Amino acid sequence: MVFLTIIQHYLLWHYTHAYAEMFHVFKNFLWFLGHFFSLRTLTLSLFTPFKRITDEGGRAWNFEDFVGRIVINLISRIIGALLRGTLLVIGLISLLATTVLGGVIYALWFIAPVLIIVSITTGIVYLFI
Amino acid sequence: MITLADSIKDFAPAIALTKILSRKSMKRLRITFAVLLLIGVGATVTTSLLLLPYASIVAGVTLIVFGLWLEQMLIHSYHNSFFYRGLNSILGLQDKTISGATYDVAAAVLKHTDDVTFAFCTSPFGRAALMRAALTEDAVDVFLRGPRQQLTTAMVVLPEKEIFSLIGLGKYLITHDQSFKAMLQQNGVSDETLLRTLRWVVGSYHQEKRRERWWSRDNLSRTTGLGQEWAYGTAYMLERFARDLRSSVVFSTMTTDAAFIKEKVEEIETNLSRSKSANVLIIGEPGVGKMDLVMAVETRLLNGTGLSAVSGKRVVLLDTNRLFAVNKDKQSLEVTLLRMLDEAVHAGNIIIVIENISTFIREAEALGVFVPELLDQYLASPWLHFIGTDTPSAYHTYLEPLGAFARRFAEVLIDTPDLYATTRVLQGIALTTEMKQGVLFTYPGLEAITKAADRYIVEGVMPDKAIELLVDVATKAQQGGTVFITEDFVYHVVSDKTGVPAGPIGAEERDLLLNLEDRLHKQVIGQPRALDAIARTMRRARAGIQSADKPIGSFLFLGPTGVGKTETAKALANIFFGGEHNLARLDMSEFSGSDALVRLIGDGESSGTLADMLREHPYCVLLLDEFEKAARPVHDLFLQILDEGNFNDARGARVNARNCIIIATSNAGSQLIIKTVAQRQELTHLTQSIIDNIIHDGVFRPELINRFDSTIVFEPLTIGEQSQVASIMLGSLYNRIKERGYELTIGKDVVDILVEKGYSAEFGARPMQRAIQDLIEEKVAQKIISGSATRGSTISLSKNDFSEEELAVVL
Repeated sequence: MVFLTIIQHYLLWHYTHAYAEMFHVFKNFLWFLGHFFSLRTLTLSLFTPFKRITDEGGRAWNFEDFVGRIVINLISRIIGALLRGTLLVIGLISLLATTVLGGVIYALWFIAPVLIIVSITTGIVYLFI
Repeated sequence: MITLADSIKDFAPAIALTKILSRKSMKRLRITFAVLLLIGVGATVTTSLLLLPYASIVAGVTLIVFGLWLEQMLIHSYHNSFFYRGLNSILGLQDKTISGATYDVAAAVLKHTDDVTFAFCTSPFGRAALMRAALTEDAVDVFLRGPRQQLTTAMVVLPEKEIFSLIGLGKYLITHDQSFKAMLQQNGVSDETLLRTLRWVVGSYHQEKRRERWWSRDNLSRTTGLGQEWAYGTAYMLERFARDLRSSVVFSTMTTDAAFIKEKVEEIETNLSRSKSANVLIIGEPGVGKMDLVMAVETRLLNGTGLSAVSGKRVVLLDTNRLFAVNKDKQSLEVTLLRMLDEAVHAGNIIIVIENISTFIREAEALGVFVPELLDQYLASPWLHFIGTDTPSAYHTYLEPLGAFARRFAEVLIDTPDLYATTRVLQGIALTTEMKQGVLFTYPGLEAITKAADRYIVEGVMPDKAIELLVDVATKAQQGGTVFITEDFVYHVVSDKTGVPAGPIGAEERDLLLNLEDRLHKQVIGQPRALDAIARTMRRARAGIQSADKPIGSFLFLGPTGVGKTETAKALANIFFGGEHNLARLDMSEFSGSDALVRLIGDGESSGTLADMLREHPYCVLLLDEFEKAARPVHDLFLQILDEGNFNDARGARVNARNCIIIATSNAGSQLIIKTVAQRQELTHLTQSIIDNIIHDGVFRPELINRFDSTIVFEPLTIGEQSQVASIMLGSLYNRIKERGYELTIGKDVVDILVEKGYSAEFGARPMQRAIQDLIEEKVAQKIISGSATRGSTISLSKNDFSEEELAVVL
């Protein structure tokens, strides 16, 4: 009797509350990825010089220095953008993967109780083939 | 309206499940099936690829294991859903209203739905809380078996906008179950104590539960962001002179969710978010946890949970020792500092922490570098922030006079935590100490540690000294084989440590206090009224009726010279502090000049006499002789000491006088006393007029006299009392002569002469000593030198042994 009550209660939870809770945890994971890869900071500072390494130049204006400075600063920005861009892409891929995985788990969750029965029965059948 | 019965209904199947399979067993099964599944998948792939004949059997077993593992995972998720209900994340969910009972409440009351009180008292957490509130199991059993009110779950109405945890249940029982409340009262447990104990026991369990739930936003936020550093520059020079923040943290148990630190962390973050001059100066006594606050700020920044305006910032603690060790001259220090600060500005996300900023300024000044001027442009920069820490006295002495420099900082004041906050800090430490030492703290025991540390431990600040006392108490308990640390045990340890009777009054002390008059009379001749008044005041003080923020007792002794005022002070030192060596005496006539106050409390360079005396003898009788002769500022100082039990010396350090009995003696009004006694008037009724007279003459101000616990009037001695004084003094002479190998007997006629000659209304019993010296000691010396008295013989003196001239000497 207790066993039946538990099963009934479980199934009710599985198809109602569980979805809301899974969604909540899923949101937590997306938030975590955003935080872990610092996506906001990376996007805002994508083209700033890498580690803020720049050439400030001397006081007197000199054409060669001016060009050199532009080149150095440009390189610093390019390196910065490359590194940050790479991390940004990895972060975005992770976000996408998590979203897809979330969808898959949502779908699997729907059939999970059946899946248990199916896998155990199939397993038993396999044993006797 | 939701009742407890409604709320717990939903938990019933999940709780019933744990009866079949406990959470521990679920975990074991889950892990076992996961391991088997991995092996199974590997085996299935291998056998299938190798086309082995039993591949289908392996696949079958793997499928069964998968089914079982999946089933365990679903059960686990199902149970978790109820197990963690109500413990929502602190992050991101502040606005959501949550209500209903928690899993633990349901688990406790589902067993006895018709008797909630019984369910609470017999649940594991209820039992633990009652035990830690110092209630014995017997007392609880007697209560549960006896006749009492019964509350069913249907009668308990739950609050609408609040989660109903075991703390809520305890609160409910206290307000709704009168028999439960009466049982607590009978056992000396206040409502507040039980609730605070529940908050401790259940609160720490909730914290543990929160930690277990790794998928919550709180736990996920504990990692540092990867890309954070790439957006800003690096301050290479600063890195060279940086120190780990953790090396300066006082107690790491103070977590960010402690309300007391949270508010301050937010205050610091808000100040750091300002557009310019966004610097903070944390001011607090040493040991209050200033660096803990800085660390809490750092933790929030790393987690990305701080204010968005300061997110991405890095906290770096400047190692000033290394800075001065490497840069030994002005030029080198200036160059290093400027380079370091320029880099830090360039990096764009640095918050430099300078511990004890005034010391840093002074050390740099010794090398000729004026730091405030050098730092000024950086303090104004929006790209660099500073957090300085310092003590209140250093702030007032060194930083405030700098004006513009101090204004560049927003001040965040950290008060010494109040007693409840200190007890909360102790709660966490108690749990870790318990595990190490094998002891168990009760909540009243923790409260006693806080109170005793505040009251009796003179050195150090809270909560440092409370933590030290806790460790001491635990060690003593372990050594003595005590497991259960109660309030009494704590006070016992404190009494042993300090020599001052603390906490509940023991049998020996009870006896002493009840017979205090007799004990005092043994040492002091006469003065029955004065001694009775002192005994009454001391009993009041020890019974705890008096405020804890004052000295143990304070008396103003009035009366002529030589009537036993000093003797009474000695007797009190003997009785309460174990000997006359704990009598600290100050002749206040020496403190009548304009430099009096400076000599008592110091002048910033040298320390003061009173401050030193109280630091060396924190537990003593402080005797202030001829108090009326002290300068007025000294009287003002004592106004504060008598009122608050402490004062600040010239260096701003707190000096504690709460463990002293303060006795001020004065001859003021003695002429009136002598006159009153001579007129054979009853002195008791005249005490007030004597005090009025003293006030009228301007000797003491009324507010000063009122600050004393008692003003005691000492009367001139009667003839009978004088002969008792003579006997005591002669008694010590007998002993001295006996040590030389002679016996001495003195006739009553000689004693009468001594009493007659040795007393004056003006000087009391003081001349007695001289009379004994001039008359008796002189005669004994003559007899020994002349050879008329030989060793072992008895020297007998009667009036006939003295000539008229000899007797006249004493006159």
